[in-house]
Amino acid sequence: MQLRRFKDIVAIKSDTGVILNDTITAFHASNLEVAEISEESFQEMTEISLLSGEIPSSRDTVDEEARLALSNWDEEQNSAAKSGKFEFGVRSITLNVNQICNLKCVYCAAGGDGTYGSPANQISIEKTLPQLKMLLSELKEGMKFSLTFVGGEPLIHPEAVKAIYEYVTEKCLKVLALPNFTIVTNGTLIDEKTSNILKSMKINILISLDAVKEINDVVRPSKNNESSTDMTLNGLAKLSKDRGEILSIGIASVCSIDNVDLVKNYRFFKTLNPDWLEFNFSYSERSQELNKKYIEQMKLIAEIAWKSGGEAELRKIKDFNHYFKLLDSQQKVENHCGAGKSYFVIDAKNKLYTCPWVVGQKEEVVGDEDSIKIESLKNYSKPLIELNNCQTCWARYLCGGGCMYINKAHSGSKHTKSISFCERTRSLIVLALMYYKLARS
Amino acid sequence: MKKVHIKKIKTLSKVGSKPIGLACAPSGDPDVPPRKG
Repeated sequence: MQLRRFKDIVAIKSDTGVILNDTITAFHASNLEVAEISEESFQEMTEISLLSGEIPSSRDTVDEEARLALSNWDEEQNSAAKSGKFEFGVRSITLNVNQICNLKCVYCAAGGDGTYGSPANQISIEKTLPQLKMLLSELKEGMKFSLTFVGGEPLIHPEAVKAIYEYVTEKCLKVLALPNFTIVTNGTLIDEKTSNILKSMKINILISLDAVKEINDVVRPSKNNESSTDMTLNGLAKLSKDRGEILSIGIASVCSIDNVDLVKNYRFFKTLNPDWLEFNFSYSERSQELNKKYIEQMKLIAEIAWKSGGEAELRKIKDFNHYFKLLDSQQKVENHCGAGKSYFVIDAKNKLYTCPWVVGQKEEVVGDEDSIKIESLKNYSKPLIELNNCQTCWARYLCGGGCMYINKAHSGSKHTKSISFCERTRSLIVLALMYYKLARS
Repeated sequence: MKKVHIKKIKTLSKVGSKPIGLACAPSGDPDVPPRKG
């Protein structure tokens, strides 16, 4: 694959795989426009790599007409491309139902055992409902609000999930806001009772499952030494039969040094017939080699998905669906996530944070059951693209400036970019752009 | 005849079709952070 850039336009020429064809995909970064460009125009552009977010110096003009076409497009402004800036306002909350887990996944970002370094049993409902009332006080008619239940393992306490779900549903209904619920679970505790509770809610269920059994049992071992894969598959089977109100069932996997065969995993996941899939990359992983392998395999997975079911199948993979949605709706993203602006986390002790991965870090607390410490949020107010110095990157309005937590884990600073994250994200966006052109041409 | 060097691809919204794919992608919302492991 060759990647070239001219000012705010990037172009991709594929030389292998299903997207091998004579046409070249180009993308106008600030206009969110995808185009097919001529070979002559491609030749006017400067070669870049996935590692670079800088605008390269221009080449000498060879074909004046092709260069002029590029320049004219670069200078155009697309009024349909919507700004991704937004004002402060709580629109999304992740809630730690507890901070205990029956698994001890090798890469666990929650303190290695789901406790974030400080185990906590079920969150206090008495404190949580008033806290949610306070956080949701600005919700108005037509506004979307997302609540995600996590742990530890949230299904250790399914009744707490149901009680909070009912409260938030009622709160939203009262002001005609639109709630959306998700639970992230390892699926190992889904018995008849838990399954019935889940089926009684309009909720998306995201099952954490990394790989085929021989790998999954190694990277996601249970504390009682039973096969966590068997337990998860039993849970999934219970859910899949007569799904009740359940909105969707997804599978989220984590690529790590111990789990590298993503294509094999993808084929395995497909046999479980999920509605959607996530292929995440371990936050702490530093191997450049693994990063390259992830990129190569996501290319193969996209190809398998496209060949087996075109756009619908490709869009079952979360990242591709996300980029297609942004391109279709012409919606720029200026914040990779809403941390500290629209998104907050309540831990099992009712402390408030801006990100699930800083739970337990005293210096990251931004509130409690009574209030949000507004002054502690002033550092989050600018768009992440600006805070993370992504203004020249061609992928900025689809990426939104990257993840502060990954940056911190890799560079020690929230705003110093993790280059491997940038490379990975750009590679997924390149794939999305090529398939988008294929799907819409 | 003048060669066309840039041929823009129409987005779905411009051709007026309904989106294909998931009705709900809970963490596809920019407000919700992607999971990282």
